[in-house]
Amino acid sequence: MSPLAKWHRSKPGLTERFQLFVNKRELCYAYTELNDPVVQRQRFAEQLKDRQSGDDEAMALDETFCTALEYGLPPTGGWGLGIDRFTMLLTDSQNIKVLLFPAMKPQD
Amino acid sequence: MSSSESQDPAAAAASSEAQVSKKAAKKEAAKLEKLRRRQEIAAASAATANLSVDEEDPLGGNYGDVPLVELQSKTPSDVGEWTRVEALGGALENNSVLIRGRAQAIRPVGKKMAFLVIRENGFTVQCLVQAQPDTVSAQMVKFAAALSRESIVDVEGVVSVPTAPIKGATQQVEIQVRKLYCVSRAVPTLPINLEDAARSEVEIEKALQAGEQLVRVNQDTRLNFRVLDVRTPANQGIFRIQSQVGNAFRQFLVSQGFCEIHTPKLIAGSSEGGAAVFRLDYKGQPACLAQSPQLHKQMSICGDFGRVFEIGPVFRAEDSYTHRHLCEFTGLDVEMEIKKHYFEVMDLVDRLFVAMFDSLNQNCKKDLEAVGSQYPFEPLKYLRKTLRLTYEEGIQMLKDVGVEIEPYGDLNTEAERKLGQLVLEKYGTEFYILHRYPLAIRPFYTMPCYDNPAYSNSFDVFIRGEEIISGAQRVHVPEFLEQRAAACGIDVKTISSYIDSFRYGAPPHGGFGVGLERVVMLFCGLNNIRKTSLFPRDPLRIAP
Repeated sequence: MSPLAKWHRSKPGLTERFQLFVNKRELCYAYTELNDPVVQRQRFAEQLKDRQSGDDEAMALDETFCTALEYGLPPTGGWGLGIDRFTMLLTDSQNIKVLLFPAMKPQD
Repeated sequence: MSSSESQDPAAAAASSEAQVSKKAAKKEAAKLEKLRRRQEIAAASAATANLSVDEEDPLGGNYGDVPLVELQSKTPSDVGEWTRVEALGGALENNSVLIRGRAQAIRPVGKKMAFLVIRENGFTVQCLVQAQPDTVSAQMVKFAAALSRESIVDVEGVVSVPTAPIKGATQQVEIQVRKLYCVSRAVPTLPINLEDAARSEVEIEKALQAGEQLVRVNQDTRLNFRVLDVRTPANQGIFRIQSQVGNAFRQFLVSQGFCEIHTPKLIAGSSEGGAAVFRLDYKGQPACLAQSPQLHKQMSICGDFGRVFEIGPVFRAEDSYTHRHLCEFTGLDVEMEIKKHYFEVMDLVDRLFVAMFDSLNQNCKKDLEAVGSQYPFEPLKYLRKTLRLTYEEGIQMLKDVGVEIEPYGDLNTEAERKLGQLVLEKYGTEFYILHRYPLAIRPFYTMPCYDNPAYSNSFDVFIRGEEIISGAQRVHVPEFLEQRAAACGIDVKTISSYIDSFRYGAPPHGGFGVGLERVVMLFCGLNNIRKTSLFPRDPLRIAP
């Protein structure tokens, strides 16, 4: 389910990943990044199988990424924060229209 | 005499043979040395592979590959345990330290000693793995020698201060290694060597004249293996300078009352009137990637933000394969209300860039030196008050030296370069503004001059003879805007929401767009914009 995240140290079938929720809203998504190229390729291969089984959210194989891991990657982690969701939280807004220009309807 | 003459050819032949055999012997010796070294490394690898650590080496716990379970955040860490390579100095003599970095160089000396150079964030330190009874085993030395370059290792050892300077490292101390673990092993044979990638052209030429051929890594090869290429000191410097450009831009503008905005890149129709847009299907409707945030930043001014800026991607589907064009680059965009005159925008450009250049020169000394070591360049010459010339003044300077430009034509790259040289000679600056361009060569939303509608309230800005900025006062009257759009062949229907923005009250305004990669390229005197784009996209490249 999380192809880039490292598997859990002691519980099979899980990966090391967390999400931060504030007032019932998800703000942050983070995981320990996998840095073993052999395992990463296996992970992508599994995703490919899932994709072929109809899971549209499965990631495609990224050979360039696997190759980059072969040149040495230190243990790495990170997180991404949705700036618009954070603004919603700060302003107690109920929808995502805190964007300056939410995707405009194209003109034909 | 005849006897003497007969001896000379023989002597010459003998001398020649000796020389040939000497050269051949040297070659053979080098070959054997290479083979011996390869065998030694192979033997070391085999020995390591075959070694049963627990059975054969009582000191086996002091080295080895770190098992994955240990890297799965098994133990909460005290980052205070670690010492940065940068911090290693004489004050730490006889202290035990723990460092993590890349094995940049590995040099075995016999079977009981090996030197490692460990690199962290550009700083390097020499480490000595020397076999000693009860402390360092011969197997550990073999393990050190068998590491591959660019692997990430943890080193624990005691700091010593040698009497002689250490030439191959930045830190003038040595670590006597006690423990050595491999955290992430790199492949044994890298596609490019960092030593080669970090080599300057000057060094290559010098070696060539001395009869030695050093490896030159071509730009395309560098980009194919970008994660290796960007590890060089020059590349680390380039992208830290780029970071500082963005930082200085943001800080200055916020201090002048600007608000940072984020505009959509998925838009309908093109915003610059050109055909060079990337088109895509947007949920069943046609769309394209924005060539600039132009229309949206103007709409933000109509929304009473007063002064706005954005740092974001810009897409140009031009088939321009040149040293200074990319299909995707980072735009630094500014838009602001004008009270009286478009010079108010140029005043801002002047102050912004002088502040930025000052900031780079003060805060990026180390990075600028790193870039200059590999790609030597002269510091940028700029004036406290930025030079302004009109387009006509520029054209006249070119005419005076015999360069012909059609009166209302655009300047090509060659003419811009030439003008840059002339400006430098005459005014002593490599950073200047050229304004009042012919209207015919500016986008449809550009405001014509009040006194001559063939010209416009617009400007370009140059560093070292190349353009980094286009800017102008904008048309804020909707009827006039429609007229100008039609005159430039743009379908008004595709930009109706933009034009309608001006029907609800719109202030006079102007702004400009800067190419981030070009600023860094030209400030550092580099010859290719791909050097200042972390993962460039040009007409031929969409990977890595």
